[in-house]
Amino acid sequence: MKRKFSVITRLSILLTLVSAVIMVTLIMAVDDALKEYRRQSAHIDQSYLTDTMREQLERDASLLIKALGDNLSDAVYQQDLSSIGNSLEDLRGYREMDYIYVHDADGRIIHDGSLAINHYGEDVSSYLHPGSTSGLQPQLHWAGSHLYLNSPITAGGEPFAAIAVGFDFSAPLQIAVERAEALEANELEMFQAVRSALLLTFIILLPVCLLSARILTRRMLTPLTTLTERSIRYADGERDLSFDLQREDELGRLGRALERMRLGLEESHDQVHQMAYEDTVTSLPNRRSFQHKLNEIMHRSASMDYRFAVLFIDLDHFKQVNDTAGHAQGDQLLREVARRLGQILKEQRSRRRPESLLARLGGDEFVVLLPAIETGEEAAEIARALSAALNTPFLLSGQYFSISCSIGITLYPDDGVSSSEILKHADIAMYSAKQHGRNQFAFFQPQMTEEIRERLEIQQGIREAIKHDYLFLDYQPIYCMRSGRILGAEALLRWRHPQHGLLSPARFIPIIEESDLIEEVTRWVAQRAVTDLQSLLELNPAFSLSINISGAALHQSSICDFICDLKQQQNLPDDSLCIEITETSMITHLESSENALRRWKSAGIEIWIDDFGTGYSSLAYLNSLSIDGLKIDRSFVHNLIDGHSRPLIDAMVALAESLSIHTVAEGIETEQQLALLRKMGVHLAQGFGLARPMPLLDLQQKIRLEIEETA
Amino acid sequence: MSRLLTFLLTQAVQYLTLATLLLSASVSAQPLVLAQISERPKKDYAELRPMASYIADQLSEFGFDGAEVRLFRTADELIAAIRAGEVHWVTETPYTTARLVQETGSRALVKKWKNGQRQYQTLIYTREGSGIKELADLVNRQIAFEHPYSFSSYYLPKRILERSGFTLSPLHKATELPPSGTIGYLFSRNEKNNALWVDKAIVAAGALNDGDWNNPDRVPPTIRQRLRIIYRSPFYPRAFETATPALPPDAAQRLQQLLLTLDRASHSALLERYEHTEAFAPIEPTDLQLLHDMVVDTGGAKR
Repeated sequence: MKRKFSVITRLSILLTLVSAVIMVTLIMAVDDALKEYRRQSAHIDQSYLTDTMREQLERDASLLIKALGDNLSDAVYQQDLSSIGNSLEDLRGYREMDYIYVHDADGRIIHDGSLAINHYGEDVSSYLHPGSTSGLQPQLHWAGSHLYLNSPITAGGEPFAAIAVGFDFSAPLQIAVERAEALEANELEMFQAVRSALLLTFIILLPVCLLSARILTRRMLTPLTTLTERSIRYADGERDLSFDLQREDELGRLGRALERMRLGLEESHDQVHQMAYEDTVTSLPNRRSFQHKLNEIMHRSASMDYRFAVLFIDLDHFKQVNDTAGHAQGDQLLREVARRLGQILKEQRSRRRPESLLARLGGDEFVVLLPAIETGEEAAEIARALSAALNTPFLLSGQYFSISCSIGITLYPDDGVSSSEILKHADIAMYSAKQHGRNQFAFFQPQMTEEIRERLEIQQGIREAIKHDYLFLDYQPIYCMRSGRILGAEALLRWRHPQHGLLSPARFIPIIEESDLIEEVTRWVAQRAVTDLQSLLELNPAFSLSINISGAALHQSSICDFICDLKQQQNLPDDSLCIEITETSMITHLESSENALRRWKSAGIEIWIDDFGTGYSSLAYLNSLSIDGLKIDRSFVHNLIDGHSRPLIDAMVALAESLSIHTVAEGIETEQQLALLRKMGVHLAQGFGLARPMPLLDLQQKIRLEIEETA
Repeated sequence: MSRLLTFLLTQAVQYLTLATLLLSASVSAQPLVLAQISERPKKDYAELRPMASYIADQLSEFGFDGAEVRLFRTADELIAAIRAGEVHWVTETPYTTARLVQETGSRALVKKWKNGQRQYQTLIYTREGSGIKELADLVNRQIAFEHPYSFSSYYLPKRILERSGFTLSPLHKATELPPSGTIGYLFSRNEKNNALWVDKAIVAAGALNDGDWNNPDRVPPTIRQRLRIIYRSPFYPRAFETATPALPPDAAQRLQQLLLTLDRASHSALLERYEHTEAFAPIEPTDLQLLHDMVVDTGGAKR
């Protein structure tokens, strides 16, 4: 694993290393110089000392003997042997000598230094060192450490005798050598001491170096550390700080650069914060901001017995305002809504409780956080006030718009312990309120979740169903009352859910109708029905197939176009495709549906009114839109025998006859019903009593059988 | 008037000066001066000084307030000093003592056993194998004496040879030959040289007293065994303590008494320092006779 050292450590180690290298180099250079000096001086010392010593000894000896000669001149002349002897004796005590002779001009020994002068008169040359002369000439020569001298003794300037002497200078020369060696040893010792001192200095200096390098580096990098520490604090969210170090060097510039960056960051942070946490239309806090605050409050109140309420407000019919008056007007409406809601909350606050929070979640959804709520009734009161505030029509560009709102209420902590849960449950409650007829509020109930879950499951599942062919069509034959033969069929949407099995159309179709999935499902149904119709037309060219178009889909021109195009593309004969619509859906979307109906009619598609008699119909439209037929609702057929619906059916048949359009009786279950209806003049019949809805193959089979029977 | 005054003043000054001198002589003390002829002043001074101090203390009653040792290079210088009244007391050999007695009127007080010798004799010796058997063989040859002031190694042997009928002629160098029929003599300057010269055949014979002969420092045994004595003289006193005329007679007598009372038992260190003196002995008539009879040869003193 690679260890990471701090910059300070690395820098100080680097500085120390550089110093160490310099020091080592210096030590090596000094050591080298010392060695070289020692090598040379050792050589010089010895020879120098020895040579100097020899010179000194030589001069000393010459002078000594010369002085002795001068001193002995009289004694020799007077043959004062004892005096000579005394002098020689004195000299012997002073110098180590091989021999000393005083001899005359003939080389005869006058004195040999001994007490008895045993060699008196003998030839001196036989006692001298080879190479030494016995004459009166001065002579000086070295033999090893021995110095041999011949020094004349003069009288009146004339030599008449001489002193021949052999000095043994081994001792002083040895001393010189020893001195030189001692000197050398001293030098060596000194060098060792110098070297040790250098090494010691190095060893002492190294940690000192390291320490001072560390201190220096640390001091120099202190601004960097400060910047780092401030950066970390800044990153941790502290805002009240500055990177400006108030200095002029590089680090100061870095600090100023960081400070500029921080200011830029602050600015964009503020912008981003605004963008992220503020709704651009109403300038209210947005969903993110609200969730944030909600989280905060929940976090704060988690440990306390603190209750609050969340009101989920959804405007009813806002989409219509947007669609009819345009988005600019829609936005203005939203701003006005925000203003009114805010006003109400302000009033509420000033009276009783701390500031509540209003936010816009998006679209026409607002949310209010009511703090310090003790009971549901308090929340309900505010919900009512808010609702009432929106009841006053909105004047936008000279036009009045009336909207209402549905409000879902959750109470913390009863209805959830997390912010997302509280908000989701409020949404569910709002949804439930909307389901129950809009312009009201609802408290969250746990079962609402199940309803919504199922709804969501269906809404999400339908796409999968389309994709994986979980949807299919069953066909319920429609018979001719007179011939009893199959004239056509009604396509009925079925959903075989992979988990829940066959789903009841009554369950999922209303949910689909409420969602924007209706268009997709309608397309699928139309596509499949047309495909199947073609195969049926092959069996019976006069066959007609009915599909149901939901009111929600009716006003969508894209569906109208799709069906027209489909008929065109498949070359369906006119009147083979029928569209069934309910009275209510036609009336609700009168304007848009009128347009669609007219187009379908002109495209050769028949229009039937489904469940006729249960809703509201405009007889004028029935006429003007050239409706092709009425389907008498099953409730009338059911009550035909035992009830009182016969006059109603009679009236409907009379109406159809007067308009020259056909009638179909739905929900025929018995022969009795069939016979009576036939007798009453109803043209076509449909119901379990005749045939249950069946798959295409069965229908085809049924038609074939019929054809065979007739044949 | 002025002349008279000048005269009177002159007279007065003269009298005054004389009075002062007299006064100072009688009142102020003087040191006791002991003298000797010396060639080695340092050694001799050290040897004489303690005895001089001792005696001076004893003679303080005679106006001596200390001791002084004076050493002279020659006998003539010593005699001159005695004559000038500068010396009170002399310690010397018989030869010098004889000169002092004869020339200065000094008086010998006691005999001194110098170097432990009560008396000594002169030996005339030659190299063994030189063929010289008796004094007569020395004619036409050279004899070495020590020093012109030496009693035992000059005066005595010379007198012996002369009394034996030989003529002696002084020589300056050993290479110099004596006049025919005479015995040539020269001075060896010291005892050691005397023996060496004989041993090295520089001279035919030498003369030394028995004390020096037996002193291995002066005559090394190796040399002595190569030498042979051909004549021995009678014994003579070794040295004398002499009072000069400068020493008052009662003081001289006191000095004589003092010296005679000193013995090894009581003053061993003092005597030993004083030239290894064994004892002092009274002068006998024969001694006085010797001092008076001794013919003093002053010729050598001029060398």
